[in-house]
Amino acid sequence: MTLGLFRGLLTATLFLAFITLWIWAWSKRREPEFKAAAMLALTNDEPVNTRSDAS
Amino acid sequence: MSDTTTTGRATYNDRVVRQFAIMTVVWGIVGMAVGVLIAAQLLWPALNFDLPFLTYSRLRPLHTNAVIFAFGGSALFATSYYIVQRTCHARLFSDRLAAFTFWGWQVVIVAAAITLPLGITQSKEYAELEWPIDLLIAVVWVAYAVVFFGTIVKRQVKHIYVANWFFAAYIITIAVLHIVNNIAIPVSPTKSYVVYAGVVDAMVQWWYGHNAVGFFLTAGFLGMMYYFVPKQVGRPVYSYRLSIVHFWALISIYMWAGPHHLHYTSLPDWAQSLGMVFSLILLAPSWGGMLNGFMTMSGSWHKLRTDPILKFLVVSLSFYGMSTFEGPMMSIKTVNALSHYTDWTIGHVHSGALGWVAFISIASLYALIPKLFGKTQMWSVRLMDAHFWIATIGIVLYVTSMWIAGVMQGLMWRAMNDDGTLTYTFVESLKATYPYYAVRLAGGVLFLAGMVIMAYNVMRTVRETKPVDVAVLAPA
Repeated sequence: MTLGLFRGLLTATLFLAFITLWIWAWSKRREPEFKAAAMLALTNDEPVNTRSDAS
Repeated sequence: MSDTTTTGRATYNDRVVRQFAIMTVVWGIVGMAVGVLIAAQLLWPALNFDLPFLTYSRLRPLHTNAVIFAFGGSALFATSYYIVQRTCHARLFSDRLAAFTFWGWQVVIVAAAITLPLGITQSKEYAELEWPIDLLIAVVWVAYAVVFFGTIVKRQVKHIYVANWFFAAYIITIAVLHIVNNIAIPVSPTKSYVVYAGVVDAMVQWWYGHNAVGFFLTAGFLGMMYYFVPKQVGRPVYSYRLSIVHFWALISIYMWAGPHHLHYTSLPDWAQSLGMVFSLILLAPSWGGMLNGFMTMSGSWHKLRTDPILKFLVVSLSFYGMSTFEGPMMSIKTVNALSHYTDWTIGHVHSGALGWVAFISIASLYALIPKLFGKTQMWSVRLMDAHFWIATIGIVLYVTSMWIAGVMQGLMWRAMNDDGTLTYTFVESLKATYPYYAVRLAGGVLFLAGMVIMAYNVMRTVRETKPVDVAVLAPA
């Protein structure tokens, strides 16, 4: 295999990987999963009192 | 400090977050004050008082190291430790290692503040620190990685939230960049020689340098954005799938953009063109992040009237969008032929550094600090507002003056007479730049003033409070 062919194949592979990533991310099956993940930022803190010594 | 409640529930390690959060404000003021001093020196060179340790050449690296690694670094440590615990429902992996990263990082900063004014330097931009400090940075960074990834591993939720992806990429990449770029042969405790030579040295340096921008100053701060923007507007990120696609696109493309720092040098021409093309492509994933941030906010614009944190976030995303448009444009070789070596570059950098990096850090700190000390809001919302307006005006003055100065310098340097001689001497362009240096100094003073207001507000918020502990959330 020539270096030029190798480079061409590498570029094609990376391009395909990118398209696959789009399809994967946009597939309906991922939707509930992503919805749950997005909610992880929205939880509220629950302050508690642990400090009798207030260190 | 106890790591469980009286009823046996685990708590988050917020002690290290508090420490880093407070030091972010302190180092911000120090680093920006040095910046203001050197901006004044460009206007009034006598301000170095003929003292070697006050010369521009020694203070400029002190300024860049302080604002990037001390201010930006502390902000990243604070927010990544805070976010990874909240979004993983887990306490930090190791309290001792976390404490080590805090104290180790402070020692690095103090060592930099001593050695750089003494003129001890490797002469690699943004990697000036000599080998003993580099070794300490590497050890601290590995400890940081262990704490961060250890927390991810012990998470009690199924997903790894997108902010943590960005933090993970930044932590791994900075380790690789720092170690490879600083491979050197020490000849004394204060002097070493890097193993690379000539154009290879230049290419390694700017592979490091540009990815310091891409991963330290972009990916890490996108991690903040993906937590604090949804949190502040109270709704999930607009498109989670877009965040995944733009994450992978961003980290795989940034790696190759470094050669645009070496246009028209002895770097092979194909490498320069490659760097330019990757820089141009970079616009897409950068704007993917910006748009995701803006779309998350849409529907909450009315809150801008009352919430200064949201104002900081909106302006930071705007500057992120502007500087990630400007950067690819400046990487085009014909544009770069005009802009390179001029103050346009300085304007571009500060549009990103003040507008994007500093503003998103400030917003995050204003959101974090009250919570960390058991309050609902900062001591004074009006002072937050004042900070916002003073700093915004400061950025606008800084950036516009440097744009005008840069384009003017580029045009003056390339102007030629009919007989092929240069129309202007260098010193004529310098003289023409003077008024813009004055405007830039004013912008810098305003930005620094904003930070001082912030420090006062933080002091009043924190005073007479007891740090609170927060219970780790149940597994989900």
